Amino acid sequence: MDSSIEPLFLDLAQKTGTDFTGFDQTSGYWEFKSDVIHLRSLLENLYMDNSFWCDFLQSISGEHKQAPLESIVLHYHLESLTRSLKIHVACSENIVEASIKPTFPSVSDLWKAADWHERESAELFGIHFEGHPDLRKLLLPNDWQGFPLRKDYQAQERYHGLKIKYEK
Amino acid sequence: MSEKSGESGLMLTTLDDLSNWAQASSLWPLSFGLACCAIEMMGSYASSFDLDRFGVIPRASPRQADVMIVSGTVTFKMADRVKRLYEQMAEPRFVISMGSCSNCGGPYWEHGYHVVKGVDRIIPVDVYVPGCPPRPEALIGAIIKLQEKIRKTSENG
Repeated sequence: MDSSIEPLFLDLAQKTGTDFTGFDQTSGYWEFKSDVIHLRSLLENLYMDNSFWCDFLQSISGEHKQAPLESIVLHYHLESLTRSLKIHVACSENIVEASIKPTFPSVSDLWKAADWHERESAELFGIHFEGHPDLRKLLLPNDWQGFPLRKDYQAQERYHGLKIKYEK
Repeated sequence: MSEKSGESGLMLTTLDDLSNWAQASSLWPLSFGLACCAIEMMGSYASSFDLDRFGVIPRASPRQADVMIVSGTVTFKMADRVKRLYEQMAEPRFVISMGSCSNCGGPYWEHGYHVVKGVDRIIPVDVYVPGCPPRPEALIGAIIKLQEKIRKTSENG
């Protein structure tokens, strides 16, 4: 860990209106927290700014929380291969109404890798990614109902005439 | 071959026996794999186990294949495709269900919302191979079982 980067992170957090929570010893990641509105500018800066140079998006993973408020949390794991930095950005958005999908900004124009990661999160968690070029389902069949990684997910009874539940 | 007559170099057989012998000795499977069982299947094709010696040569088209080896987890998304491939195969056609997933859903039987609980729900299966994944010996066993089954069948019923 090179702590000389820390003031730059604090500046960045202030500039973009996000929270910087320091270095996590166990994981080896610098930690950011953001809301949906400021997420895009934070990630843009981490990508564009020469002192961070996050050229590698490791993954976008999701999480469905039911308490205290029902929300979707997306975790962006970034890495800078040139600057040897690893950064974790957590972004939370509440689910106000079951029928409305929470919306996150797409970063597929910054990192090509985000394209499929976002499609996967979109189909499994029921998220809309604003500005994504092609938000079709990735793993599930096109006509699948529901979002399997939500906590309250109930699988449909049949798919194309086949029972989903196991029975003897 | 049912009988050899000795010196004359003549062989007597029935048409059934002849066609069964031909079928059983050239079981051409459709070349595709679905999951980790496919790795074992590929191992069986390769030189250490050499399925070639049974006349088992993978074909890249369902039109030329006699056997479908369902090697791996059949998801609902894949089920439509597997069914279509089976329908594209010319008769007589046979199916080997390889591994627990394709037999009954395997480890996904309870919480696998995306897994068909047994490939026999979409296509008829001739031989089931237990294992997760089965060893190449088990797959070879299944092919020998299928050959036995073919030898016992008769076109005239």
